[in-house]
Amino acid sequence: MRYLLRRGLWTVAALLGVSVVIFLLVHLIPGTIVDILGGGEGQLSPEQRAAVMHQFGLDRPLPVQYAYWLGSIAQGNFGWSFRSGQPVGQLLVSRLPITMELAVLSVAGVAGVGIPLGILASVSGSLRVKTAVQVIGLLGLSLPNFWIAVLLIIAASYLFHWLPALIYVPPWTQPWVNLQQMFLPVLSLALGLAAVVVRMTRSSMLEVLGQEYVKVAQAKGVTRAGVLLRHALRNALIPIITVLGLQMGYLLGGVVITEQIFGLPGLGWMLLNGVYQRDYPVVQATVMLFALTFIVVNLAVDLVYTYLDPRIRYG
Amino acid sequence: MVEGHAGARAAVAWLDASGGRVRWWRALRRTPPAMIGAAVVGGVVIVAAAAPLLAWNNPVAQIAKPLLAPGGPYLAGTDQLGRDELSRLVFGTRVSLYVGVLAVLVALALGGTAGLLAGFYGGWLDNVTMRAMDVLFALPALVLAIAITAVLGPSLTNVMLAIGIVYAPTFARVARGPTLTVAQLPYIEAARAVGVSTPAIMLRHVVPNISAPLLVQTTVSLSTAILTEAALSFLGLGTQPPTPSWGLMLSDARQYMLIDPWIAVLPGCAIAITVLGFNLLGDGLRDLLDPRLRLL
Amino acid sequence: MARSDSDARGRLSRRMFLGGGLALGGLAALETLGRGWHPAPAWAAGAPKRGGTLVAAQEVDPVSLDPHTNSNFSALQGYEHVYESLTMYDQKMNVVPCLAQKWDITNGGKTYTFHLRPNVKFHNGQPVTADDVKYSIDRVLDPKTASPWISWLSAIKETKVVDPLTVQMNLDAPYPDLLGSFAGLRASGIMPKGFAERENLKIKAIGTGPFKLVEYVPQDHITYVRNGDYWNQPLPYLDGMTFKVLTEENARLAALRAGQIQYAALSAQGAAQLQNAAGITVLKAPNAWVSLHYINVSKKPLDDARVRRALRMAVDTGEVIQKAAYGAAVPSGPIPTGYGDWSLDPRTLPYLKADVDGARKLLAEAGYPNGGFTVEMSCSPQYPEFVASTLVVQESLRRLNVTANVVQMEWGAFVAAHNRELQTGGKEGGVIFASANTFRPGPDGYIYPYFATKGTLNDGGYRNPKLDPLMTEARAISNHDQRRSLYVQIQRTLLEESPNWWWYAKYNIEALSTKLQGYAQSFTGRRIFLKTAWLGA
Repeated sequence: MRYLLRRGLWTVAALLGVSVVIFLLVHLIPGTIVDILGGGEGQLSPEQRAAVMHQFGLDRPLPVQYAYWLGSIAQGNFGWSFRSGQPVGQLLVSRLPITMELAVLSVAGVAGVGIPLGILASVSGSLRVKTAVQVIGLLGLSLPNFWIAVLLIIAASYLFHWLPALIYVPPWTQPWVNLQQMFLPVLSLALGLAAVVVRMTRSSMLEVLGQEYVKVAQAKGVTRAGVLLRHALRNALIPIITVLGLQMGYLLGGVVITEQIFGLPGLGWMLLNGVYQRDYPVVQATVMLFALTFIVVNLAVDLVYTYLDPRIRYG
Repeated sequence: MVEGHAGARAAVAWLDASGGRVRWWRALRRTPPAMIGAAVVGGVVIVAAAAPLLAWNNPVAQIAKPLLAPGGPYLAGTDQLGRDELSRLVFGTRVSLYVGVLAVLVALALGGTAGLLAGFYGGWLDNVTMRAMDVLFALPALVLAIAITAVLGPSLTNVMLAIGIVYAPTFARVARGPTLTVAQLPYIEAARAVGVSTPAIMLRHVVPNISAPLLVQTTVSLSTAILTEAALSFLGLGTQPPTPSWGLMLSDARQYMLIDPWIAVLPGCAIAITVLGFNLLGDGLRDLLDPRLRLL
Repeated sequence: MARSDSDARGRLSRRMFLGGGLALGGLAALETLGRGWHPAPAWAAGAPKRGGTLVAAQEVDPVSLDPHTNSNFSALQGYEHVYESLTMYDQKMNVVPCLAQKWDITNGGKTYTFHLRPNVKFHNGQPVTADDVKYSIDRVLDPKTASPWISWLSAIKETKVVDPLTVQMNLDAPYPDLLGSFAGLRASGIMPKGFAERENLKIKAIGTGPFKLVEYVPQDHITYVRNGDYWNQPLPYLDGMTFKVLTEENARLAALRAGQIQYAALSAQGAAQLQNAAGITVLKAPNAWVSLHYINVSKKPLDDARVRRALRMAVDTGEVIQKAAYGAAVPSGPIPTGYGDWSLDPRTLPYLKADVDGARKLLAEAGYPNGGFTVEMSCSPQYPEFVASTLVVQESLRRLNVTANVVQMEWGAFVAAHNRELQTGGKEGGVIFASANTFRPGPDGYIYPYFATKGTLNDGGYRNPKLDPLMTEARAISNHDQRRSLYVQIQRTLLEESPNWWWYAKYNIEALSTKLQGYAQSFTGRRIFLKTAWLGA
């Protein structure tokens, strides 16, 4: 219990740190929403610019802006998007499920394919199999994310004349359509991430399989499968879970490009657009949400550790 | 050609004969993936070093008709602006290495030292440093890179500085683990009691223990740096045109995929082979160094 | 000096043009040009029928649907189906009545009296009156609204409601482009009185247009539904439209091929990638989109017109068209080629072919016999074609031993830098900016704001005392032929002085499913005629 409390305090501290960093960074980027709205071809007079800056509260000194923002966050008000005028909290809530679904499905896909492959590579005696698994896994890791996505789109439409419905539907409305829409993006992400899990599973299993207690289990007469699943895998899972947790964190923050290419209205794309359009409330709130999710996922991973390995205890 | 082959064989024989000092070489030989990785990385480095000799044309000069197919005076064809594709591919090795090395150096300097200090001194410093690293880690990497780049200005160097900062937490974590273990060993205390200076302790006892995992992480990060540069070029925030980087070439080629697949396929292969090479090397090194290291 | 240059150019230009294979694409377009503009051929077989929802792709997120406060073309694409103004364009680019049924121009062109069409309703059912018109115009002209396009209507000094269906506007000087300004819809959408104070205009819209806004999910999609009470019956035919934002062109192409969308705007490369896919028709027509480079004329040595002209001479326009627009463009001067008879005949334009020797001579005259200086060129990957054109320029300038540093900036930073350059009179912000001018309601929009001493978009403070009175006069006279000859003279002078470098007018390329019929392209680059389109079998 005390452990959770301490972690909680550190979480708050970390979040505060995140908030300061992103606030400073985003305000330092040259250009403001005024440039985005009035720039391009039209032109605003200096008076007009000043008026709009004042409207958005951008003419106050930075520490004041930060204080106001922090204060309103504490009260649960995430501000309004500069671009669309919508409440940021509402935007977060409407787009979070999409990114969540993408992340969860991708991690499930990666685990479902990567772990068995990694186990295979670790127990197989054949050098050829081991090398083949390694290379196949690494191929996905070796191509840029956007490239895999574009290739998949072209392959789907050109070879199969197929593309899912364009307007996103949530899984609870039309699950089949939703799965179709998620298929290509999840595939492109999973291909890129599978290698890490394969590699981690393989090395972790190798290490565990060399341990004494495995030999004891084998001597006791436990079946090969039993050894694998009950003794080896359980302990090997610790680093694997770490990796999956890290990937979840990465996915929740790094799927920007995938969302853009496939046109999924998720948080990553909203964040990127927010940065492009200098929509400070959106950027700050979204980054805070990502950070919070990341930290929570890490905490969950650590807690899973204690379940998997009773020797690990946090005091 | 024959000389080269003989030369390689001579090198192998020399290494074989050198005895215990190079038992790692024998171990490496037994791991084909690592060998392939080492060969690829070595190849890339050589091409990068010898680029002006291998590429006959200026990679940024628009000297021919655009979108020519491979063959004739331009072995790999020309790209959409009429530049020699082969020269761009060859000089692209330099950009890729530059990108990877710079990012990793920054990450090592920032994260490696942070992890080392945190693990060595422990306690309050450890907590604060690792929480600071957590903050960096919790920020979405791409957005962090974009923001830093936008603030510092658009240049490849700035971009890789940003990437280095983003990788720092990983290096910190890698450096911290073994340092923690070593720092608590009795002979470290003994050394301190005897009066050995802290930097000497760190150098002689801690660094050798973290150098192996850091080396592995370096090869991995080198490869991801290349991919990250490609992603940033896709967003228009990476390499400045007309610099030939594979990532930028790949991104530019999206518009011409079905018109001239070559300008897409070739940089894609280049990236894939290089990244694959680094990854294989990293895997091999990890296999080699990690299990053995624990027994040292 | 100027006379001999133009002689040389005149002699060369015909040869250049006939020989220029790279301008072949432009040739085809040129045949259809001339006075006025011709619509794409109508292939409609059968009569229009009601029904069906169009699913289409939008290339750039609209950002905001407020018709008065933002300057992005994508925003216009978002709200143009919902809002209308007093006038509109027909397929031949004539200004025709819209919400105003007829108008009188009196007082030497300084008073406009608009008689509104009776029984027109807003999407919320309330009738359109002169009060609404006055409210909308006043809002645009109010400095607090910060409308970037205020200059289109700033000639209006006062708007008066004469009676519920009559509006009178008083100008302080004649401005013949005013009717076009309304039709251009950049700052002239008519909304119900008090609307802006009641609703969030960024995502809500109530107008009189053929389609009503159902929902706008920023960055994702916009849905429209048919306006059953539209004044121009029987239009529109479509029951509704959905525009999905797909920034990646490969995704748009894939959706077209898979039949998930029936309309998409494409680049020339994208159209080429379609490779005659079955069930898709590709339309091409000239477009009011002039690719250019703005030059900060306060920075040495670009303050010397000879230097600017020499640098321009070294670049081959045909090469720029091939590499930046993939051949789907026509050389252009300041007013985009194809804009009625305002634009110059592209065959008579200077610089069609590179003249490096002439450029070197001119540079030597200006005091730079071996080049030897550096210029900075800014562009943004938001528009890859401008990056390409900038790279072609960079390469061409190398032959003069002039170094061009290409600085590629993210769009927000690019816009901010350009704004800073404009606001500081060229002291900070940058030197050369790659961009484009889109549709303006008249020739004045391409000239006065940029090159008049008092112009608000004047990069680096360009001053030509001989041109100023010509520009001021041209924007006010209504005699078409007189106006035209003035603009020809102004453009020729500008081309010689090269305060901007103009490259080409790009084609508007739109891909439609063969099911979508009755659509016509517009020189404005907008999708005005989706209102006359229907979905066939």
